[in-house]
Amino acid sequence: MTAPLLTLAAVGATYPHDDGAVDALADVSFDLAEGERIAVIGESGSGKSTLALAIAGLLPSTAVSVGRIGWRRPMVGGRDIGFVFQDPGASLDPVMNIGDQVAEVRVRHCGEGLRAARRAAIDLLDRVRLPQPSRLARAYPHELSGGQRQRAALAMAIAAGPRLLIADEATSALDTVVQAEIVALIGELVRAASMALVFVTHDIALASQISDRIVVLYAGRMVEAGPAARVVGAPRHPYTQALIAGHLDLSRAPAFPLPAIAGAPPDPFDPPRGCRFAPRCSHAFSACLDEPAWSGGIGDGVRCVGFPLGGEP
Amino acid sequence: MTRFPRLWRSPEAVIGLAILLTIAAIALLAPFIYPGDPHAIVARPLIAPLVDPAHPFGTDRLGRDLAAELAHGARASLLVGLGAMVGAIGLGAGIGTLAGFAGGVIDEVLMRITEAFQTVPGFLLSLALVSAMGPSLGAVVLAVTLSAWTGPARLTRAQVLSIRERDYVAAARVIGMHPLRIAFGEVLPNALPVVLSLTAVIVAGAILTEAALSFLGLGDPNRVTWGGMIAEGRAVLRSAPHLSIVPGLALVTTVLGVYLAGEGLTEANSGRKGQP
Amino acid sequence: MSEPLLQVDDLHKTFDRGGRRVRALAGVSLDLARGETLAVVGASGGGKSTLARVILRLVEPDRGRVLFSGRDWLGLGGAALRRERRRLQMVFQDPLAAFNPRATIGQILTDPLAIHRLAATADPADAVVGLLARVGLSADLAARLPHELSGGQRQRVAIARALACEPDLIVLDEPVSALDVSVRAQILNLLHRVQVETGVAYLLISHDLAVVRAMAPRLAVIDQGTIVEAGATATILTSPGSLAAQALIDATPRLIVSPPAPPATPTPDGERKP
Repeated sequence: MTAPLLTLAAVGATYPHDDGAVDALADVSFDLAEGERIAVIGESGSGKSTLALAIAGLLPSTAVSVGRIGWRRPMVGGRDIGFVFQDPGASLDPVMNIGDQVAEVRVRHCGEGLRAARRAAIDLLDRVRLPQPSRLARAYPHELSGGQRQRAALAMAIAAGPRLLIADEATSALDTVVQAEIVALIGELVRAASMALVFVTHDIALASQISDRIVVLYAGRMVEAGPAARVVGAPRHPYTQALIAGHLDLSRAPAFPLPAIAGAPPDPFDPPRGCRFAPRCSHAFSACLDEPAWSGGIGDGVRCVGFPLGGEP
Repeated sequence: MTRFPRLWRSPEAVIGLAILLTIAAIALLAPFIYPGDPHAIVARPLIAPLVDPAHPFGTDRLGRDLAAELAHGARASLLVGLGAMVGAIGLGAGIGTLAGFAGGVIDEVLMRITEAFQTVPGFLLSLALVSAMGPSLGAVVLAVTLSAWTGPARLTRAQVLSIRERDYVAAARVIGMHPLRIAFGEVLPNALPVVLSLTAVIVAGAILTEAALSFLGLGDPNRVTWGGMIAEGRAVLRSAPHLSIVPGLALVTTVLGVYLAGEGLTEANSGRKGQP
Repeated sequence: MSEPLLQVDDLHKTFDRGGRRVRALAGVSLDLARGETLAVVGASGGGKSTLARVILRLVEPDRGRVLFSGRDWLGLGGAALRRERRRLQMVFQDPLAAFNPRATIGQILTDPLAIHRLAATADPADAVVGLLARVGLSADLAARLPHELSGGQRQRVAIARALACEPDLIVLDEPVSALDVSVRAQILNLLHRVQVETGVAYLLISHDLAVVRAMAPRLAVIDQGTIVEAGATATILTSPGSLAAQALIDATPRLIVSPPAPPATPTPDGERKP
């Protein structure tokens, strides 16, 4: 078996703050094989963006990171790792046309001349299904729709042929229809180039559609991970179970009250002691006041005291 | 909540506030430290500073105590600064809010009036007004207000134009709130922090305008003012330069204090904005 | 047949966006009965937000007619409109943006009571506590500022503000799409309970068909400023008659539940297991 492209070992990060440090992420370990697609799911304060930034080496300089992020070979950000943000404006320069921005990546990372890079850029814009790529290459970001901007950002992210694409809530700001198109596009691009993918989302349905493996984060802790089919089909952590039970399906009108998780995600400045989901968990008991250990293998297991004790909680 | 700790972390703000508080204290305590008329002759004329411990800043051509004059002069400067600030920001914010919130014809008319005021040089307007009304502190405050309100008005209008599109303004309309209450209760308070960043410029400008008017002999003749003191000293500038330099330094220090404090406050405010 | 609560007839609205004319509404008609929930779905830019804002009298249409309880709603103005606004309320998508950042929750809830003189008790503070309790919030939140609350709490306050007016109709503009996934069901449950208790009608504006399926028995699909399809939600979702509806259905993320993988066979790299 070949070594994984990426190995995360006990990765974590804290953000120092006026009112004490925020423990944004701790103890995340998993491997990512070449061409593997991992979805990281979580809601606000789950640490999912912190994890995405940590993998890309883009954490703000004020953050204190721990753990080890190991690559099979040296990786260059922007060339070997492509990153797509939720807001495409974050990676697009408003005063440079789309074609030149994509070409710039080729010039910098592939050693191409500007002329060849511009030709390559038009080809890339075509690959992300922008209509009339040679015309849109001359357009500026503000002339594009939100979906088109995200396509352009995607073209930049894959311009240098990365081995890993990280999409951080890349479709959350988009309309349902456009979101579906972009998700399908990311899936195709990744498969065609056998790129690895880290797809960060809050939507477990979206995650189940695009990924081989799902990592569930809650309040800065990795609470469950495993093959997508296993996590969705036989979730072990009460949080994952509740997410799946609460998923609204088009096929039938649900009965009220809908299955709901009580409460809200914890205040990052004042997280609960022990298991961070315990205050909202219907299975919680006294042992949940201790920080639960990870049980299972690397990238396939659960962080819940109740699981090994009582089987399916 | 975190505004004050933040403020204390900025050295400019601390220095600025310290200067202003000192001057304000001197102004408030002047009648107790130097009771009686500061225009009274108390010693022989033209004592140099730091010679006679009873008159640390020396005396002027008529033998009046410079320190007493300085302390009483601070009152005029601060009064004009405060008065003009309240006047200019009050008038400007009111007109800017109406123009921005009402839009249409009201906006057009109010903004043309604002532009008309902007095209008249402020100091000329002040000169004309004080000449017409006769020299008094109130006239100076009114003059400075009329030449300084346009900045706050335009800034308020720009803020209001952006804030009136926010959801919470729509929400206020949906619950049936009266438009005037929306304008002054919901929109203006959220526009004001940005407009208040003009405070330092207005206060400093007002103090300097008052000094300039007094220097030209258009100040309140019944009050000691720093501008008047500088004008007094002009006649003996070579032999006794301290008569002009000391009030000049007081003026510079006050304006500096206003700017530093204003800067610090603005910074503390904007720093807070990013916080959730 | 009883008279509908809301009748929208042939609304037109064109915006001028930097010299370009954008047709947001091109002849929209719909009606809504008392106590009913009607969803209006469509892609962004399809006109559903403009429709909501016209109905709420936040935007004036170019032409068309809106009857609210049989009365000409677009003809109302000034004090008469402000008085009648009580009956037609709104819950916004982003509950943080929908509150004056400087007002406490107590002030936010007192405003509608004071404007319409609705407080049942002499003390408005008691009324505020009562409103908070109705949406499942504790009384001590009244002293807080909106940014000190969680997203779900804010949306509850927004619902309480609408309820304070004792409305006949609440326009729900994407009421849960800005909320955390684990909080959405709570808010939908609350909205459902409020409707059962008060008989208020909802006009639900959304692009999330799953939420629409749960909340609204009736559905109108809006695309490029016109209603392209309307009818029972269950029917449209199973056999859509318009491309716009079909596209939305296809795009809605589905949970792919495959049978769980068989237990992993022991592999030679067993040393990786902790």
